[in-house]
Amino acid sequence: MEVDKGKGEAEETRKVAEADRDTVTLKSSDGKLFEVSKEAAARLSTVLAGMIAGGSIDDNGTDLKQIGSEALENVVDYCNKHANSIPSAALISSSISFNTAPFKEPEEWERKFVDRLSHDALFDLVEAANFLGMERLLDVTCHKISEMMKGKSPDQIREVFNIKNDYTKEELEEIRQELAWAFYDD
Amino acid sequence: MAGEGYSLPDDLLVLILLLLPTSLRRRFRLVCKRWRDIVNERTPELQITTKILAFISQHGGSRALLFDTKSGGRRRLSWKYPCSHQRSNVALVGTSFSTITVTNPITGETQALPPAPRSPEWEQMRAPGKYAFGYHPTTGRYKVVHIPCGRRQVVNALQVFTLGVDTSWRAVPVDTTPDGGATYNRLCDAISVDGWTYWLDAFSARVMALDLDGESVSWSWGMMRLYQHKVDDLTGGGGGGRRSSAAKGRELLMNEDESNGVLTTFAYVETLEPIQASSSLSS
Repeated sequence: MEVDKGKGEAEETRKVAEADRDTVTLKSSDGKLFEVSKEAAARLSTVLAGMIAGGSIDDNGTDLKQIGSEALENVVDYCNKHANSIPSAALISSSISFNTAPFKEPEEWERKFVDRLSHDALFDLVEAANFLGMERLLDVTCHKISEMMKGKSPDQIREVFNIKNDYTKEELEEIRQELAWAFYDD
Repeated sequence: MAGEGYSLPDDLLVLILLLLPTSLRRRFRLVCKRWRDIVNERTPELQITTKILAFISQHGGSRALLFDTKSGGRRRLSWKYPCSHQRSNVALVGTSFSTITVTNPITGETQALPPAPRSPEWEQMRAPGKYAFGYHPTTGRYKVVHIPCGRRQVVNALQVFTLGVDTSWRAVPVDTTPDGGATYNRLCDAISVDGWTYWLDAFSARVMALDLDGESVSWSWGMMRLYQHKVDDLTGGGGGGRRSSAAKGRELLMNEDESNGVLTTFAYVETLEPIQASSSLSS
């Protein structure tokens, strides 16, 4: 009987949550449902904020036809982690008057978050972040992709991005001529 | 998407490319025509060129000069700067005993850094090493790089200090085997250009390069000649037997009324990106 009572309580809690609408339900292109904190979604995504404010959120799952379930799961995961993360103590405390970076470095947990993703997942996530207007997630994912690109030759880049080399030999040579300042040889 | 490659929309590709150092972004034009067009049309530093920025310290009005190396050293810009401080030499990073200061050569404003890294070996060698000052264009970070010289000019690690971020020096290991590690040619200054700090290896024709963003050291063979053409002459450094051409570079910079002054030159990269180096250095 004790067990049943506990279950009843849980259901009640869920009902209260729905009534208060603390969360929104998002539906991926392949029909999977994900719940995310309304506060985090509105804070992190300009598109979701607009939908929440405009009342176009569907309680049965707001359709996000451009986003697959894997990418949406990562988006929701990011929102939840972001809501729980404690902002790192200000690194910049000195009085030095030289300017600091315009781009805010990813935090440790954000690095870990994108580091564990496969190439496919990362590229899908960057597009999802772009679609949903999630500026911070876009920064973090773009930063990760740019990190991946460093130290790679054009050949390796083509491999990673699966791009076909559509240059003629002469055209390549012409560009190489302009690259005298890049200290690479290939 | 898997298997079809990643056809990121142009806007996203631009965002990502803009996070790369200029030199790397320009190099990636080699990937394909679409990337070339995006880099050419959507990222604004096609006009990147290297120039000489020279400071001439004199009594009664010091001067800064900017030269266009493309047009054979023609003067592009020349201005006097009202620096009240007396100095015999312009050095962005100055050392005196164990204190290190970064100086804005125009205003004379200085910023003290924490005590320099020390090692009994360097002290015994009386070789405090060289300091270089670098700016990374996409992160906007200023870094001071210390290249220590141990026995036989071996460099095992660099010390790096990021202005406004670090509170102490950080060691960056130099792992550049297989050729017995890196060394430092003391006759030639280290120099920072476009997000990289370069120095010459003492015993081989290698140019060593520290990426000021990722802080990893790499090196390149066969670039010695290019380095000397592009950098050595500009800095007045002399990597073995290059003294005469370095002197020639100096003559190019100074005319008669300036020849009493003390000259310091820097390679200076100009891009159309909104680099904040000049504004914050002079603020």
